[in-house]
Amino acid sequence: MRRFFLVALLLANANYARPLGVGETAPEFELPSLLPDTKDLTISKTTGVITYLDFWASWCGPCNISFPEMIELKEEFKNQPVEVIAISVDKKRELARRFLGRHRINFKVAIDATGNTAEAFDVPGMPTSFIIDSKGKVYSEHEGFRKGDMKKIREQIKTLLIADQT
Amino acid sequence: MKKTDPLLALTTAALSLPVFAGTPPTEKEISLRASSYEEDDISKTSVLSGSPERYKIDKTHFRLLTPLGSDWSTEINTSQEVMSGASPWGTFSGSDEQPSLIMSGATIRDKRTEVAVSITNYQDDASYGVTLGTSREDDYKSRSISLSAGWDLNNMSTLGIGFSFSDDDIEPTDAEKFGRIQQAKKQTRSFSVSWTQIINANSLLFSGLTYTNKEGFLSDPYKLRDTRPDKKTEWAASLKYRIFIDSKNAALHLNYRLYNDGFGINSHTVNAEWHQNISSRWKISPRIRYYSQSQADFYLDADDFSLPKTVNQSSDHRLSGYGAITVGIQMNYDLSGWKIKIGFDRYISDNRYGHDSSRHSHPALLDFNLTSLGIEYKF
Amino acid sequence: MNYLKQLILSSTTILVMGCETVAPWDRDVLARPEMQLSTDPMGDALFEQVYLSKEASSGGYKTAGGGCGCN
Repeated sequence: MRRFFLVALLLANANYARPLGVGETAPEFELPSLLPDTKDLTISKTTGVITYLDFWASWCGPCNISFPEMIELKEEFKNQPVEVIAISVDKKRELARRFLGRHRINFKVAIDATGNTAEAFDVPGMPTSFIIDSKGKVYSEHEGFRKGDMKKIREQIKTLLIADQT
Repeated sequence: MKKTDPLLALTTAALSLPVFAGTPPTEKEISLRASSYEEDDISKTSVLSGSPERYKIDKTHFRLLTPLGSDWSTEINTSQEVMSGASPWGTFSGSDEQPSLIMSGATIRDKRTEVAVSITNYQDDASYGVTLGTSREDDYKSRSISLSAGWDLNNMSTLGIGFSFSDDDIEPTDAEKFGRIQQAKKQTRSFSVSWTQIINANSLLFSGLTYTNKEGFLSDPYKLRDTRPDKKTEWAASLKYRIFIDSKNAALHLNYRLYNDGFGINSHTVNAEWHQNISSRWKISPRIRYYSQSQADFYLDADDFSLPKTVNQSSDHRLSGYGAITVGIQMNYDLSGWKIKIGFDRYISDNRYGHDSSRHSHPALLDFNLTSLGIEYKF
Repeated sequence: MNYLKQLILSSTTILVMGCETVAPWDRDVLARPEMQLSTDPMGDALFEQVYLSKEASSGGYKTAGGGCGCN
């Protein structure tokens, strides 16, 4: 009985999807923008810049902390080839917009209502962010968000900037 | 009528691990809740002597929850209750075989204060918490400590364990005057384990098992004759089901608890709540509860003074077999971080409602109204 | 009690095996306040205290887990 239970637990834990690894090419995506004054209705991943890509949702608690820190991050690197893109997985745009209304957004925001892009990136939990280098390869993945997590992310982006300049 | 384990409820509230184990709260929460508990008076025909006026309790509860740094949170709960009313002292068999009550006289005005402080640490997919609590009233002092841990497994299940210990001192009022025990102690140890399983995107199931061991003075010192064993073990197993119904924009809660203890009591508790979203601001939740317990092994429907004091016996209605139904409703109003909650519940107990009722309906079986008003702010 | 433990163990096993993983981006419903195991901690504390002092039963309520998987 006990052995059966353990095997069941192991099987349930098995991860059938192949995780998106560091060093792999980040998937392309084309998603509608959530910002009302953007003429572009789609945003696709840009190469030639370092991208900080964040998957969020209006219902995700830690996103209350990550958003102010992302705003600071974008401000800090505004004169550098660094892009910040936040992709919402909210199924209803209205919920995402309401969340955005509470912050002074200075970066690009898109919506992935079907979850297909999140799936392509094999997002392990909410929120998850990726640092994608200027060649379009995943440099690092950050699951979850706690106060002060941006410090490590900032350092990683600085490392990439220096690497690009040499 | 003395409350047992007054701290248990407060420490449970403090230790309810939110959502997934490894997620610290991101906002501060301050809440205030005022509640009024009022029992119906006993019918005068059931009272041999004393006051038929029953218990009234007014309670104020304050709660503060705040994140501490990035990996910790703390919660403070404090409450005060003012109680008044008469209690049953003894049950006597009348000439018609129907038991009747001797109630205490003048209404007592008693005050109880309790404080509980918890600290929780959050790791990746796990959390660990400790709570310290104390409760004080004229004749009862309690101190407790609780430890809890939770682990998220593969993002679909959560395993939780808990342990709590409480140490109580009882000093009944007017002990010498009424020949009551002057001083007594009681210790409670409790272990719990739980498993929460996400079934699909719209539902989840919780299952929990709790083992409790009590030792010391377990009798009611205010009854004319009440002798209970000095050891008691309790087992409680519960299931909680949550499902969201898209078409109705509402969530259904179903809870079941099976309980049995060393006094010979077994009980069933079934609970259902319907959380209906009316708009983004309003929510209304009707609820119903059914409870049924069997009687204790040493329960007698009338005090038997011919038995020596060392022999276990009690005519406490809370140890009799009966059933009870609670019907209630709660309304929630949300506005930018503020929440107002108003609740009203009506409880009716009856010998006829039970699955294994006592032969005679105990005259002290009570009915009550519980009204509560709460304000919360998240920031 | 032995029978009860078996029941809990087997239903837990069946559940664990039979549940299709819910993707992190599909946890919007599970994150809803009305879908938590405890929607009103202060209300729960009030009821628990009332019932354990007016009835003979207690326990079974300690909770863990649920929801959105935000970490």
